[in-house]
Amino acid sequence: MSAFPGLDDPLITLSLLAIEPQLKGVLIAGPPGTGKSTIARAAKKLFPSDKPFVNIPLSCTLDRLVGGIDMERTAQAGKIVALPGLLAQAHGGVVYVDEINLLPQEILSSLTQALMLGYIRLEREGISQRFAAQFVLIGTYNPLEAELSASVTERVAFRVWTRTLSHLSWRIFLAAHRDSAKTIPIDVVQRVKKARQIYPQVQMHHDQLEKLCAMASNSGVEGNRAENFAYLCAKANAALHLRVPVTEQDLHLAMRLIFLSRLGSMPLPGEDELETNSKSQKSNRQQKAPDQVEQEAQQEAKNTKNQPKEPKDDEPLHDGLGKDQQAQAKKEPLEVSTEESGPIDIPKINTLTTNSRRMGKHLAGLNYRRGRFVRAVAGDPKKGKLDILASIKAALHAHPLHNNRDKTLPIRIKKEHFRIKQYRQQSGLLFLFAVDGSGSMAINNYGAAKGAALHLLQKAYIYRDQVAMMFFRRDRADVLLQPGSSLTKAYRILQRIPAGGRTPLSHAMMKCIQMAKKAQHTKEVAGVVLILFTDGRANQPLKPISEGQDRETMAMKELQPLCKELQKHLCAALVIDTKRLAYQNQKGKDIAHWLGAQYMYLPKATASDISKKLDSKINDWR
Amino acid sequence: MEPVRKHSFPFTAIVAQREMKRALVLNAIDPSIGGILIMGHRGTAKSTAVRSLAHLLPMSQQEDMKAEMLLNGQQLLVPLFDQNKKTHVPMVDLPLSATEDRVVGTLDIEAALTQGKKSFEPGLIARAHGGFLYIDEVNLLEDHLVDLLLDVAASGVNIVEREGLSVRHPARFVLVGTGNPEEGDLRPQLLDRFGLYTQVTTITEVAQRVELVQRNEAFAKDPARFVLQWAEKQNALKEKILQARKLLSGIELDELLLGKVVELCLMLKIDGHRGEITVLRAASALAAFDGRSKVNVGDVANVAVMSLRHRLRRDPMEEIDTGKKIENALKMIFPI
Repeated sequence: MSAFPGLDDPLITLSLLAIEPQLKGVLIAGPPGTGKSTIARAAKKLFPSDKPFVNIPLSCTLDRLVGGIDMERTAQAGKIVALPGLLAQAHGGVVYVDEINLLPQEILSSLTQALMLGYIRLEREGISQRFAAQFVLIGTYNPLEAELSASVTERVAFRVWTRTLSHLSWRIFLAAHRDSAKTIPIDVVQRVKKARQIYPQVQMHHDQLEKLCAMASNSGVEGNRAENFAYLCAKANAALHLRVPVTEQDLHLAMRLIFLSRLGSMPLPGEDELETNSKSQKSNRQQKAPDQVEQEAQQEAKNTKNQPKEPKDDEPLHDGLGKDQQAQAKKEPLEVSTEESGPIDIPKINTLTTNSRRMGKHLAGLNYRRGRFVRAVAGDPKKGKLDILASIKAALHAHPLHNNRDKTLPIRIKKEHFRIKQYRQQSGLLFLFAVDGSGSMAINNYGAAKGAALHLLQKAYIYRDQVAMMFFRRDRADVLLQPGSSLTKAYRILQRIPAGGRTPLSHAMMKCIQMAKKAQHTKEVAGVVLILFTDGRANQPLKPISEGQDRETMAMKELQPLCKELQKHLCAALVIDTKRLAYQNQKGKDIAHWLGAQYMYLPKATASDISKKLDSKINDWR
Repeated sequence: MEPVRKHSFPFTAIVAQREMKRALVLNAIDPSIGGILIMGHRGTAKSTAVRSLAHLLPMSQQEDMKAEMLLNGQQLLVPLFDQNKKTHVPMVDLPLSATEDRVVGTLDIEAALTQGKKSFEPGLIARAHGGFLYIDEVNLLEDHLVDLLLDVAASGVNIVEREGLSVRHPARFVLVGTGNPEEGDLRPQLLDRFGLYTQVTTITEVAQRVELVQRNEAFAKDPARFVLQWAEKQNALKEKILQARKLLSGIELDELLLGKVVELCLMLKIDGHRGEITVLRAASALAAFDGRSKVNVGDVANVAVMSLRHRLRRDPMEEIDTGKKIENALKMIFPI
């Protein structure tokens, strides 16, 4: 139905959202230049013309988003007048965020809360008000830059992706029609309009609903929102096809768009070539082109029809391993359980000691310039930003007004009434563990890194530290644990690891640069600390090597500039050289030098070695 | 301003999630249990359950809430709210974006500007008095707000010394938090504040999922009608909670059983005394809910996991689920 093969899914989901806003939203992922933003902006045409379409910029402050004081009208009226934020302005319409994965955490969580509640509760600076804020969220992002937190992806119905169109004529067509007004065919707009009228009449049969719910149970999705979304999605699709009864086709679409997209992390189209045969079944399915997935979905739907499966109550959902992941764990011969490497020693701390209690009282990071607004304090306006309202309050307190019937404001604000804003800047650090998964020491290294990571996470709440873990092996580097401060999650994810293969150190350093940049951008942490475990033997360059070139030499050559670039984004680094013989090579030292890192030769590193080292340095880094 | 929707999804219409519902009801019967923390999968009706709880609880206090205020050297007693207007106990949302002055209260600038009067504008903590203070995504709450809450929750009094104001008022509320543990951990001192801790997981039974979708649909289509359909069940539960509240003061507790509860906490190496106190309070509330005047072993077994789960020492490398650990200890102390 669409004139755009590559944009099929985005266009379908946007149309469905324009029919049923309770689907909450769509996140469009894709590499740059694939028309994500173009279609997102053009989607305005699909929604009723009298509804707002609000764009939230990355630089948006919390005040702008949820609302604050209307200073001008407050002064005129003599009473506090609230200024609705962007979310309240979007009521009944659409909120659009470009590069939503780069939005700071506090902004994102306020946004998702409003999305779920349908209103904004404003409790800021003397205002206590509720604004209706029902909206559809359209977000775009490039997953190569940073992944999107599940707190957003799970709360909207759809996640779809765009890809680079390889067909020449389509590229020419797109280039010619880059004007956004033209990217949504007029017949689609008309169709959606009609569909909105039909939608209230659409009916789903009980058997069909049962089938959808069985699909939800069989695909092991988290939470019970997915089946609601699937139900609404199937109904909206029927309306889009100008039908009143829901058909098989609608169920298949819901299956594919809702349940399949929730099976694993977002796939990156075009990376199939990088996959090796030992990759799991699950990710193979995820890596398929959308049309293949469609077939698969139909196949899947058939299967469920032919042999209705009973939902298994004993399925260990609570440990976070879906069926697919379990299958993956069984099938992958190279997966090595860490249990085999013997117990991992973690230095235990009793979190309820008086010492940690005192440390829990969080006073670090207060300043007058940057961060999240905490409170207004007496101070010199030259030192920070003046808090006008708080200053007026202080002046009023000193000299109360009498009989202010004409509503003018003869307030005498003296020097001692000045209040300036106090902010808190994040003082947490991101500890980025990069572990060499090749060679004989891989399991030992991993165990040590895991132990140290969990050790850091036990105390992460004090400064809001974050930990991420990357594992490099074969011909790529994988981020096993995305930056975060949850011990529960880290423990679940780091239970099993893959090992063996060549060392793609360059690829790992590239990923480190990406993660460090994102951490800097969202300002969630004050700095990034890299802990690199390697034997120094980089033997897998990023660039393909031609005949006669030495793999290791080429790899080391491209590593130097990468390390130097990475150094710019780090506040500290630690290189743990795990080569077996001290005289083997000096490459670990070279890498440490390029990174400006501290070098340690620890062929048999243990978790407590690393933890002790980190603990002794941690206060210097903050 | 656009009106915000009036009806909230009825508590009794929430499908399955028994443990979560039970823990909420127990707190409604006896607020001194100390609140509840609900952690678990996303999209499992955590917030819905919490927000709908207040509608089950009629306002009991008739007295106006007053604050002590020091003004020009004089101690005054000023009324804050008219409590009679409320039909049910307050369930106050603490948004993550709240500022400190809105949480504790501040100088009423409107009164100061228009009437030249110095008065106190109560904050969220004052509004939650006698009811619930709810924090969604509690593990993401800013640290300075956590510090504030801990102080007030521990003392039951809100003391405001800011902007030249000097105010203190009672602030007793049940702290309710929800969140997903994968987004981050709670500070231990906040974790310890919550009386009960329940974990929720995704409903996987197909029949229940179907029921869930149908109820959601019915509510979305006609909220007023849906609420009416569930009114009978809501009233029955309301009545049961009220009866239980009356019974609560007369609940008997066997010396022997008390000893066993203490033994259980010792076996699990739980620091402090909050563990056994919570188990006993929750078990008493459960007995009252069942219309009994005597706590039995079953009551203790039913509430032990939710009362103790978050008080066990953290050992991230341990394979065994903390719930299982408590159940095993229960089996050893109460052999059948």
